[in-house]
Amino acid sequence: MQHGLSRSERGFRFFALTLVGGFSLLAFFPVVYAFSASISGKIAYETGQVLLTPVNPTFEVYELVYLDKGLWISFINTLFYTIFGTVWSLFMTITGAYALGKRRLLFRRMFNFLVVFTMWFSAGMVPLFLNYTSLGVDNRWGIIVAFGVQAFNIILMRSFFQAIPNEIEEAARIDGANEFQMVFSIYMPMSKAAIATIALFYATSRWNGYFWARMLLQNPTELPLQVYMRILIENYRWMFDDLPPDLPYSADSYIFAVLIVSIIPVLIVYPYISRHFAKGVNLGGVKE
Amino acid sequence: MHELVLKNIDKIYPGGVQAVYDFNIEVEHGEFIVLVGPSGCGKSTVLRMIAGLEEITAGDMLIKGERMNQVAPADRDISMVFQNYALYGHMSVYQNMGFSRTIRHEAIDILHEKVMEAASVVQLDEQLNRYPKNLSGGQRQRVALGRSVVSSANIILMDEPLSNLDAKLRVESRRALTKLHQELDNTFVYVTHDQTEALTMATRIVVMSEGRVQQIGTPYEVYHQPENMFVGGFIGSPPMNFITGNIENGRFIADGFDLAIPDHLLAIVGSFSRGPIVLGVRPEHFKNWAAEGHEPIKAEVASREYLGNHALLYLKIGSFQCIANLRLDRAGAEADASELYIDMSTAHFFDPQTEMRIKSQEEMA
Repeated sequence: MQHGLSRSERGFRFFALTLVGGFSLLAFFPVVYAFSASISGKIAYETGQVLLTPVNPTFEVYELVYLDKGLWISFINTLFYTIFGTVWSLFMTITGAYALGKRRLLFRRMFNFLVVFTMWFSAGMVPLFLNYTSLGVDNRWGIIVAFGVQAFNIILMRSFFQAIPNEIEEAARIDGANEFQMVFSIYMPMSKAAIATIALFYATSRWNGYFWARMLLQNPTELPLQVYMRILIENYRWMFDDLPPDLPYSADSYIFAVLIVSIIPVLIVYPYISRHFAKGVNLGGVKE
Repeated sequence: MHELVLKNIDKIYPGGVQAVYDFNIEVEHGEFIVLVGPSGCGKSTVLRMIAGLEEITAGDMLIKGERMNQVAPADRDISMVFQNYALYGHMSVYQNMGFSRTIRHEAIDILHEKVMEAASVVQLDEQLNRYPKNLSGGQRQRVALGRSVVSSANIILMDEPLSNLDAKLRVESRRALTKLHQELDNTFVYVTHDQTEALTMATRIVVMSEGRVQQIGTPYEVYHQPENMFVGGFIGSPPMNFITGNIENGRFIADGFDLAIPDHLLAIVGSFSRGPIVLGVRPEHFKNWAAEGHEPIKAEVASREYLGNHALLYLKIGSFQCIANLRLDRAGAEADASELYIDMSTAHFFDPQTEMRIKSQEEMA
């Protein structure tokens, strides 16, 4: 133990580390298990020998995943939904939050109320569904546009923008910035941390988007990954009936492999975004 | 043509609070105007109206003869230095200074030239690639100044730019600002609550109180010919002493005071011989040596502050509290009240009703 820590501090440290460690294990276990199950041998898996580490590992199942054209189409679809969806959502959220935070906005209180109102009250699923279908939200662009903003994120962004001192805006106005330059040259770069956070919120919700995509999308070639996986899970046992029975891996392994493939992009992107978290950019710009 | 004209300017906030009443001034090119007054006197509001950050409720504002009331801040040919600097934290010093030109898509070579020029004026050549968070308070303040220099605006507005600096740096920055004003061919409009800053830097001072202009004049004028009791009390530190009394037989009489009034003053205040009158005496007009026009006074010293070449005496004279600022650089000078005089030749008289200084006919004309 380190010197200079009192007993209560040591106690707290132990408690905190145990708690964090415990939760990390809880979160980490399913991922490790899924990976192990995906590469374990058929007999080992089906007799319940796989607890955490792989048994009789074989990567052959990933060949099958690789050959699944539908999976890759849905993968590309999800990338499309995530990238364009996030960009669109950020654009709407940032410009909306900027405007809603400005006193000079006409009917500002009313607009803010209307935005916040949607956070507390929702029309319910069936009216929403009818509304979406009557608006023609049954294709790629429909999904992207219709699920553009979440009120909570607008409020979050608005609060962040309002924390930027008025003088900054006034200085930029005197320097000759118009509203768009104000947003894109001043407010956005000063709010990188908040934007990164919100971008991550939007991106993960797009990446994991399942329910409305399943309800609304008609064309099978437009389905996102999550919907495709769900349909796969519903049907994979029949699919394996057509395959030779002496495969070295279990049918479940196939599903686990698809699962692992689907989380790889998130694992790759996350560290880049997390770098921006909790990093105030405006330090020192104004005297506190 | 006047560089800047404010004509009958009023400012009433939406809540109905009136911050500025009938503000009038004509500013010539190259002047260094300082608006000074206690907090809440409307001086910042005037500055912000000039900048276009506040709407003008009534009256006209002209820059180079053109009415500017409805013109956007960026098109008014002004720039502004804020009290908290308002630097863009995500931009380097170079980008901060060049922003007003970057945003207008100015050619890169002109931009570069202007920024380098300004950087050498405000002595930031070495810091151009650093970020505001890595600069000291004084450097940040110079970046804000540099930004104004780069913009080449004719009028530079400053809202208490020195108030966040420590005392030593403030004195240095005062000199630097005066020098900058001499080097640049700009008009400065500067807001402060610090009368020392006003006296040291201004070519003309505008003293404000409660939304109204009290006096506009050179530092000499506002110090030596204060328009009213407010100006007399606000400009100068320690403030002017005010004693309410009466004029009887050519003498000023009050509790503890019996002073002969010199002829040139008596000629002006003679008509006040029947009602009360206020005598204004600056602390340095208390003297510890006899001379012509020095009227002896009996005082009790309540406390004293020794300041090297001079001393402040907190006096009790009759029922009045006064502050005397005595020079100690004369041979045998003592910081006591054993021998104390008031130099009446420099005294002022005020009308207690209107609080205005009583002036001679020549001054009125």
